[in-house]
Formats: sequence, C-alpha cells, structure tokens
Amino acid sequence: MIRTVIRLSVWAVRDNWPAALVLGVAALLALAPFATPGELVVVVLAAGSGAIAGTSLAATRLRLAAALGGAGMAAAAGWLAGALGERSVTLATLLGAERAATLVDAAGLAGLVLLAGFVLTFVASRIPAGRVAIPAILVGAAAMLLFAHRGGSINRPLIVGDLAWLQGYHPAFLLGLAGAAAALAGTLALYRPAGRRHPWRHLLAALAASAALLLLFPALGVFSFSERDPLSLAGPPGTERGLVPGSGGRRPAEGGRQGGSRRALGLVRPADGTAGGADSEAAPFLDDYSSDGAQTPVAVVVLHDDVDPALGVLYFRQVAFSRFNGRRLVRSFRTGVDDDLFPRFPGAVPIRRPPPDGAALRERVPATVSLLRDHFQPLVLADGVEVAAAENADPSLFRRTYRTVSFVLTAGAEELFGHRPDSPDWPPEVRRSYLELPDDPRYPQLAEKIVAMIRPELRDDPWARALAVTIWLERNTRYSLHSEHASAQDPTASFLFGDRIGYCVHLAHAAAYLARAAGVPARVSAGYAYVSRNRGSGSALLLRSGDAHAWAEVHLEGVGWVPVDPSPPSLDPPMPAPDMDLQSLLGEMARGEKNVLARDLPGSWSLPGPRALLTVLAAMLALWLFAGYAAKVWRRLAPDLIRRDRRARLAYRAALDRLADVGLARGFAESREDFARRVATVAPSFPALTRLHLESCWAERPAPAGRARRLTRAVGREVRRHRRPRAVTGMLLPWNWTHSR
Amino acid sequence: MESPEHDREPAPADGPDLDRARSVAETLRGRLRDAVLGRDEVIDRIIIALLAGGHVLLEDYPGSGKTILARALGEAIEAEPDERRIVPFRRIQFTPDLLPSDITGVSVFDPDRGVFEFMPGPVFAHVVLADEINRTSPKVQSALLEAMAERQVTVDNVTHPLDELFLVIATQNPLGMAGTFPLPAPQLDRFLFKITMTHIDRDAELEVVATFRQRLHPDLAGGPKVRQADVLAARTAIETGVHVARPLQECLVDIARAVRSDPRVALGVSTRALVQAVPALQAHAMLAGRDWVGASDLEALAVPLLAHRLMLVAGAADAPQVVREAIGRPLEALARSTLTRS
Repeated sequence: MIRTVIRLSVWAVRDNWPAALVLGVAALLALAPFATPGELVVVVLAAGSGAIAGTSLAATRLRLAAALGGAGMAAAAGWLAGALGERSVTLATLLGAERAATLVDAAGLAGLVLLAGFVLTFVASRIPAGRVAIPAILVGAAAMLLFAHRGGSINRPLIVGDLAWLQGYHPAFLLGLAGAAAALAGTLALYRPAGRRHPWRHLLAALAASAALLLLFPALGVFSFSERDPLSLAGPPGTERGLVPGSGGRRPAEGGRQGGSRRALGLVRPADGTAGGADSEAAPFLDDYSSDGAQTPVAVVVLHDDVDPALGVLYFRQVAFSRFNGRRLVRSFRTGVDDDLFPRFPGAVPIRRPPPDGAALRERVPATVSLLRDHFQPLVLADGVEVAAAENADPSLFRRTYRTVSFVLTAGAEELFGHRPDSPDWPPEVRRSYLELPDDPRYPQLAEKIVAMIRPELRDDPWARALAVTIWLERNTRYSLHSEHASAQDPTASFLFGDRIGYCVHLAHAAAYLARAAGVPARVSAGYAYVSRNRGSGSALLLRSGDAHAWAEVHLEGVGWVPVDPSPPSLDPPMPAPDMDLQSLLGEMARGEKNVLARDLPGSWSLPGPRALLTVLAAMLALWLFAGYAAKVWRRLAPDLIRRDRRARLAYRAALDRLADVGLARGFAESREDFARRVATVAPSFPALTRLHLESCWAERPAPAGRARRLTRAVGREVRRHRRPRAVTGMLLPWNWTHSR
Repeated sequence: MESPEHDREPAPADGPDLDRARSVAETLRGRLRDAVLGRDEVIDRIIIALLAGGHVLLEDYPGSGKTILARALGEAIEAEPDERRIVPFRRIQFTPDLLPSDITGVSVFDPDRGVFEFMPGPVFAHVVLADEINRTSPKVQSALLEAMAERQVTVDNVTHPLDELFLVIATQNPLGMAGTFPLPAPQLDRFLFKITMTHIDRDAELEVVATFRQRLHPDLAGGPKVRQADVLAARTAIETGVHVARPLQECLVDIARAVRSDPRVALGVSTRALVQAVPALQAHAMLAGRDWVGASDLEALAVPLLAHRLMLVAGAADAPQVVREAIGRPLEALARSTLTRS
C-alpha cells in the first residue's frame, strides 16, 4: 500500500515536474510582495502539488466537469473547515491562539492555491485555449512583482500613480492591468496554436480567461482594486449626533451623497452654528448607526511634513474617557488625568502641552486644521503639543482654522516591548483611575485567559498583553454598526460576553477594560481616524463624518499613550475611500489658494470601476450567447427560406450542425466521404446526403433541394434517436455549430 | 463502414461510353483477380495506369506474383488482327550487360533481298514487364524510358511507333542495392505510379498455397477478353466523360506547390506529373462509379502519384509522409469550399 503510494507519487512528480515548477515560480512571483516567507513556502509547495495533481489527473479518463465540480466541492469543504477552525476554541487552547490562527490561515491559503493550481493545470491540459493560461500567469506574475511598489502609496511612478489616485484607483491596479496586458500580448505572440482550428476562438478564450483572473484577484483578497479600508475603521460615526455639536436630535439638511466636487462643496455651507451638547455623551452606545451622510466632509487637515504613522492610521484625538461611571467610561475631570487633551480652542495665546515621552519613537508633524463643521473641542493629531489659532483662508467655507504641532507615534509594534506599564510621575489616585473597571469577575477571568496565551517570556510585558487583547478581540468579535447592547446595564459586557458583535465604541471599551484587568493603564479616546493610505500623494486629508472613531489607548512608560485598535472582520459593507478630487481641492482651499474652482478639474473623465467592468463582461457574455443562438437558429432554418438553388448546400450544412450537436465533426483534412462513412452508424442517411452534396459541387449539377432537405430531416431524426442526451445538451449550446465544417 | 447507398448509387448522367469503359475495367479486373490473389489494390492501380496511358513502377519482393500479373494483363487484351508485330506480353530481365538494342530491336541484313530489315524488340507489346530495371546500365534505362515517354523507338534513323496501349510495368527490388543503378528522380518522373507492395494477407496467402496447382497452368487464353480498341475507346470515354471541376484542379496544383515548399524536398513535383495525374484521377473516379472527380480520388492517389517523383534532402527518407502532410491543407480548403461556394 505504502509502496504503491510512493511509486505513484514518484511517477506523478517525474512526469509532471515542469508544470509544478512553472506554477510554483508563478505563485512565488505573484505573492512575494504580499506574503511572509513562511506563507511563501506554503504557497509554492501548494501550487506545485496542485500542478502535479492537475497534470497527472488530466492524463486519466476523469471528465473535465467532474474534476471542476470536485474542485469546487473541495473548496467549499475547505472554506467550511476554515470557518470552523477559526472559531474553534479547542484548537486555540491546544496550540495557542496565535499558532492556531497561523495554522488555520496557512491551511486556508495552501488549500486555495492548491485548488487553483489543480484547476489551472487540468484545464490547460484538456482545453487547447487553456494552454495560454500557464505562460500568461507566469508572465503576469512577473509583471505584478515589478509593479507592486510598496502598495502604490506615496512613492513614484508619479504620472501613472497620480493619475490613478485622482481617479480613485489604486495605482497597482492600473500598473497591474498594464502588466497583464503586456503579459497577454507577449503570451499571444509566443503562443503557437497546436491545431489549426479556430485560432481566433483561442484568442477570445485567452482574453476572457485573463479578465476573469483579474477579477478573481480581489475575490481572493490578494489585493483590492478600490481603496478599501483594511482596518475596518470605517465607522461608527458618532459624528452627527455625538462628536459634532448642533446636531443632537436633528440631522442637517443634506442632499445625500455627493456626485461631484462642486456639488459636494455646495453641501458643506456652514450651518447655523448652534453650539452645545455635553461632551460626555460623545461616542454613545447605540444599537443602529445609520451610515447615511458618512461621506459628509467634516474637516480638512493639511500636513506640513510627511509622516508614516504606526499601523498606517492617523488618529485625531478630540476627547478621552478614563473615569468609570458605573456604566461606561466618561470624561474625567480629575487633575492629572488626561491632561494632554485640548479642551478648548486657542485664543490669541497658543495652548501648549508638555511633549510626550519617547521622542525617538515619534516624529514631529506640524499641521493646519480647517473645520467645515462646528466642533466643541479642537481635534488634534495625536499626540499634540501645541494648538494655535491661524488665519481662516475662506471664512465662507471654513468654520475655524488652527495650527497644531504633534508628535506622531511612528514606532513599529516590535519596538514597543520592554516598557513598564505606567508613568513614575503619576500619583496613586491617577494610576488607580486608569485601572478602574466594572465590578464584573468575567473581565479579569477573560484577561487571565488571554494573558495565558502569551509566550511565557513575554507574559509580563504590558505591550504584549495589549497586543494579545487586540488579537483576541480581532479573532473573536465581529464589527457591525448594527448591534443590540445599548439597553444593557453594561453594554460592554453585553458585547463581550454576548454575541460579540459591536462597533468601535464597544471594541474600545472592551480593549480598555481587558487591558486594565491585565494591569495595563488604559483609556478610550474618541475623534477621527484616517487611513494614511487614502491621502495618496497629497498632503491634504479630508476627514468625513464617517471617519469618526473611538479607540483604546494604553500607557507605556517612556512611550506615552499607544493606540490599541482591534479591527475584527466587518459584517457591514466597507466605507468607500474619500473623493480624491474633493480632498485635494479642499486642501488647496485650506492653504488659501485662490481660483481653484475656476481651474479645470482633473478627473472630468473617469475609468470604469470593477462593477462597470463586470457589467461590460456580463453584457459581452449576453451578446455572445445571443449571437451564437441567432446564428444557430438561422443555420437550421435557412434551407427552407433561402434561394432555391442554394438550398441543397444549406441543407447539408444544417445536417452537419445536427451532427455537431452530438459532438460529431469532420476532422482536419478528413474528406467528406470518410466523415460520412464514420458517422454512418449514427446517421445512416448522411452518406447519401454527402454524396448528393459533393455531386452538386464537383459534377456541377444542381442537386434536388427537396431530396436534400428530406435527407437532412432524416439525419436529424437519426441523431436524436441514437444520441438523445447529447442531442438535447447539444441543442442548448450556443456555439457548437462552429465545429461543423 | 461501407454504405451501400453511398458507393453503389449510379451517377445519373452516365453516358453509354462511360458504361462501356466501366465494363472494360470490370473485365480486366476480373481476369487479374483470378490470376493473382490478394492484390486488389495493385490491380486497380494498374488498370488505372492502363486507362490513363501511364506506366507503373512496382517495388516489391521476388516471388510476389508480378510476372503473373503483367502476363495476365497482357493476355487479357486481344490484339487487332492486323497488328501482327504486336504480342500481348513481353518480359525483359534487366542485367548489367544488357544493350539498348536488346530492348528496342535491331536492323538485320537480309541477304535474300539485300536490305536491312528491322527486327522489333520486346518493347513491341501491349504489356512489357521490365524486371529489376535498376540492375542495368543507365544507357539501357534511357532507351526504355525514351520508349515509354515517346511511345516510339528510333533505330538506324527510322522511327517505329509502338503499340498504342504500351504499358510498362517496371519492377525494382528494394533489397540488395549493391551493383545497381538506381533510377534518378527525373527518370522516375516518367512513371505514373510507384506502387510499393507488401506481403499479401494471411487468408490470401493460404488461398494461394491451396490453389497453386490449378494456377500452375492457368488458362490465360480463355475467358472474356477485351479488345485493344475497347481499351482505347475507354480512354477516350474517361477523358471526355468524367468531369474535373475547377476547384479540384486548383487543389491538385496547391498540393504540388505545398510539396515543393516543404523544406525536406530538394526537387519537387513536375508539371508533367500534374498533367499525368488528371487522367489517373478520372480513371479512379470512373472505377468508383462516378462521372466526376472528387476529393476522395485525390486523397487515394496523391501518394502513389507524387511520392516517387520527389528528391529529398539528405537525412529525410519518407517521401510518402511528405506527400501525406502536404495534402492536408489543400484538401481541407477544398472540403470547406463546398460549403462556401454558392
């Protein structure tokens, strides 16, 4: 048994290693920019095994449909197993949370790549057009590797990149498209069709396959074409109700989503600035957050220095909650607690705060903030040290403008280990205030369980504990703006020990409580979070009401407040990226540049998005089907409709179509007489029809049309009688008449 | 898979001439099949060659019945009464010391009358079996080949026409090439067909073994014969009665061009080959019961018609394969044209 298996695998590898090598290299090239070395090893091995399985099974009598169906079922089973494994507590306790998660991820990835390799090589071995696919994938993978330039963010190439950003595309998409087109052209230039039959069909099939592959990439999560928010920050916009005053019970009159920058500007006319709202009601627990108006511009921030923040997110802090009031965390008014905040706007005198700790881990970033909506407190890029009033570039547009200086945390997560949890300057009551939590034994129990998952040598490190809390929350909760905890006495407990579906306020509270339970001082901050990548190459940031966010922060000695921001899988549709036109336009207006509106706006044309591409593909498919059926029906009816002297020939062609329906077609250079003899068992009338047809052609005598049509009908009857199932499916296929020659 | 309706259906526009031609061919076929067992294809080819006015080169092993075949063909044709000089059948065994006059005939001095009189050689026959033609010197080969091409011999500046039928069946032995003078390609071009014979199948061989005593003295003189005039009339009937459509002529030319453009071919098919091919195709179509030439005739005859005329470059050996590859594209185009022509 074992020897049979070994012999079989040796046979499979010996005969099929070139395909395995090609696919392995392609997988390596394609995923090198995205995957870790461990994942790369897994992926290459999986791709190779898939290729070996595909090519060796293609040599057997396994039907194509059976192979594809089996692969689909295997994919479904794998997906199910992955979903179960992700939730499995047993696996997590056996291997440890992180290792279990890694295992599940790796197994999922390997399974996916293996199936893809299998399907690809199987199809390539069976279908002539599929032969294009493997070289296309190899060359395309190489092109993708070349074009994956740091995720296409701030860096060059300028021309393509900026154009793409202005259109709201990831440059990698355009460059990848260019690479794929180049790869396709190269492949077609290199491609020698094996048979001489219908090379144009191979071309079309190769084009369709490439388009499908391109569309497959986002489905596989390899990279996203549109600027999705990877951290699921898009969110719980307390916005209109909480953070933005003057909208407590009333929604501002808004005309829905902006269609273009000019119209959007019209939307942001300054409202009547009613101030107010108790700030402790900011970031409330609510059951249903409507994401309507999430695109409403709230503020424009112009950065005066480039910065690459930790986690890729710029946090604009407005308030912080550290006092437990019996139900949730609220703003503390104790001296020495949260005194790094800016509770009011600056007057003539700038407001200054002592610089945060950890100067080596931070970068100084001056910025100018122009508010499009009234706010009761300045929003300041964390961690701010100075806020000073500035000239409002356009009082008709901006409510207020101020300058800030911040020290943005840029350290990577690995640099934050080895710090003590709190600050030596803190008096005991301040420290106690940062460790307050509900009187619920489940918090310490869960915290203990989470801490126990950490490797022993790191178990005492506060940052490791914060990370463990983040990872646990990401693995075990789901993000949604629609939850059912607001009426609970402790909404956080209802979230954490209930269905674990909640939004950022729940997550921030849960993270803060768990960190506190693990002995790490923590608080909840609220404001806006901005995914740094959305900035593109510009220095202007457009904050929208949908960017409003709450996140937890832990305090590390020598570092200061560090954001702890779990981003579990989201159940809601992702929030779209900000309008790039609007963002750069508002940035220019905030800088005081005149006449920006008079200029021609870039992006008056736009490239089609993936949805439009899909629509076009669907339309092409429909057209393709329609054309096929129309031609088929016409060819069948033509013998009765067309000029009498051509009827015999068309009747013969119609008989050929009937035979093609059941898969009988004349081979290349096979004479019509030989073909007639070959199919005589299925269609005994066909040789007579062939004879009639050839005689009319070569003896140049008109054939009797009536006899030809009678024989054609007889062929149809005989075909249906001998091959009934094939005749039915063959009748439904739109393009098989192209086989009749 | 023979379909009766396909093959037996009579062509509606058959003239009486073509019917007579077919009966001539059937008679010959019957006699030859009686004489030689298991060689139906070769017999058909030889009949085609006779009806198309060409000559045949047989490549086969000794003792495969070629003499009997050639003799039976000769005996089956009845000479015209006035053609005293013409005998039905002659066999020439080619040897290195053969002289051209041994083939053409020689002028002999008649002391009674005091004049030279021409004594006809063995080529003055309906059917001449030139056995092992590659064993003789090129000089003798040329003499025979000239006779084949011109259908006349010239001795002492006097031209003597040969029989109108005059069919040469030359053989050469594929084995034992030492001491031979292989025919160069331009010479081979004068043969209509080269037929490579294989050993006959088991049943036929068994039949030969079982009946060889009866066949030892076959009654070649008995049975129905055809007259020379019938054969000549059949030739005319085929030439005028079997239709060769323009696309088929195009296909024939395309095949020749495809063969010439093959990189393995040093010397391709001559135009003469195509001219010879047309009556052969017509005769083949007639034998198949049609009065029109179709793609199947081309497909069946392309290799025996063309392969022996090719001179291949060094390293390439398989001329039939070259021809088989070359006919694919033109035949495919021909088959497709039947659907597109209106």
